[in-house]
Amino acid sequence: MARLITIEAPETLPPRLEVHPGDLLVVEACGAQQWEGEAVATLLGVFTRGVVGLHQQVLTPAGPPNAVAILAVAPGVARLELVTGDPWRSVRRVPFELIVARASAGDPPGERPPEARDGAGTAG
Amino acid sequence: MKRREAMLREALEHIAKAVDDALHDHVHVCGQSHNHHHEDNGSAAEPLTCIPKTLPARLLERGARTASQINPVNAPVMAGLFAAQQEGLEGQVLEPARIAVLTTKYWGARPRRLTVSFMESTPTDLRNRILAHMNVWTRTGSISFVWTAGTGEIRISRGSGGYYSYLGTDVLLIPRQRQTMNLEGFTMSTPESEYKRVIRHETGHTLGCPHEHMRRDLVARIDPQKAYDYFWRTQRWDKAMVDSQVLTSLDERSLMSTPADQTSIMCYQLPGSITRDGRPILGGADINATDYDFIGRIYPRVAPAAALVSDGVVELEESEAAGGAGRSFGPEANGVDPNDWDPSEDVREEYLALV
Repeated sequence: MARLITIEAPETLPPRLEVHPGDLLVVEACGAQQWEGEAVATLLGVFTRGVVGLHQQVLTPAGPPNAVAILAVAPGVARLELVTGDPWRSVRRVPFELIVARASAGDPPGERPPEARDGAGTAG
Repeated sequence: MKRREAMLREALEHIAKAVDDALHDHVHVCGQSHNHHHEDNGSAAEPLTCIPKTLPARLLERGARTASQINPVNAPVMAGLFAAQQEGLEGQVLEPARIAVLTTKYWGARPRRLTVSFMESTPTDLRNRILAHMNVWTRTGSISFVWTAGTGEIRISRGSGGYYSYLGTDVLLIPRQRQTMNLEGFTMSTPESEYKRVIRHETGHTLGCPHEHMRRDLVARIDPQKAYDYFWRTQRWDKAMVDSQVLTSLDERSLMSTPADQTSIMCYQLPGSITRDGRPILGGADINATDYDFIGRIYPRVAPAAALVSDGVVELEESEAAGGAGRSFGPEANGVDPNDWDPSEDVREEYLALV
């Protein structure tokens, strides 16, 4: 089961965050860098949030981008850095490691790969 | 001075001649020419009505420039007129749908008080401090901000997401459960300089002001390749993001504006490493004299009677925005523009400089 993981305060991220292949992280940040592990995680891009206005059209505010999307692809380790703050004046850089690991049999139901679930693969 | 007087005198002579011609040939009323020959008993053959007339198509752009010089508020509507020309819409009546394109994010000239609420629980001293900085714009402008315990027209969050605001009247289109302005992490401990730089800037957006660094003159100073490299290297912004944030100049015709001003509160600081001349774009740290003057001009404390405002949204009378009921822009179908005259009679550019 792929998960959408939203992180509102990058400063609160642990230095090492473990996720599963297929998980999508959306972080409140104005930029990012990826130093290692491009086969492990894909930095999808830096985005500006928009809303559907009452007139049924998408509106975006005046301001810098404020969301970064990262897709966990395959087991391994990716080293990334999130950029927060005001990109025009002063930014803070938050490095972290993204550990991408397959869900194991010990994970809660729904987070295990099908072959690890109780009874999975045993039915005739 | 003598040359100026001579030009004015010549202009007045032209006007006097035009008036004389009109009085002897026919009567002009409010721009409407009636072939209304004098009758001995002085009674009119038909009631006089006032129908606004348009300039001939060839003078629309010049007219827009003059109108904008006199009052920047004139710019957006006039922009629509010659934008229509450029898009090959001459001779067509603009459809109501087109009015939406012409509508700006301008709040209108009528003095106005916008309500403000906070998304998170906010102490009174912090709330008052933020509002005080928003209201600094009222030193010259007529739009003020007042706190409400309910849901305000302006909704401020101090949560994550950075600093931003929706532009002008767009805030009225944002769903009521969402913020219209974001001031990430602002507390009473935030330096006063940041209150001035950030809150006054974001309030400028709420008043309808876009980013000053996207004015054509400032964008022209940026080396696109250097900008792409710099923002990719530092923040992984792709080309489209850099284009959007830094390299797309605003359509000057859509602006009520002063000349581009790199120390405006609405201008971001950009490093010299991305400019062609190696000099940074300074960016503004507080509202400057030009900003104050500009806001005082577009949101005057005494409103012109012509402002049409309803429920917080600027409205153009449909007939006005469409150029008048059934009125067309540009040459008529038969190739003769009844509004036109011989170009030799045009007021010379030098006279416009005297306006």
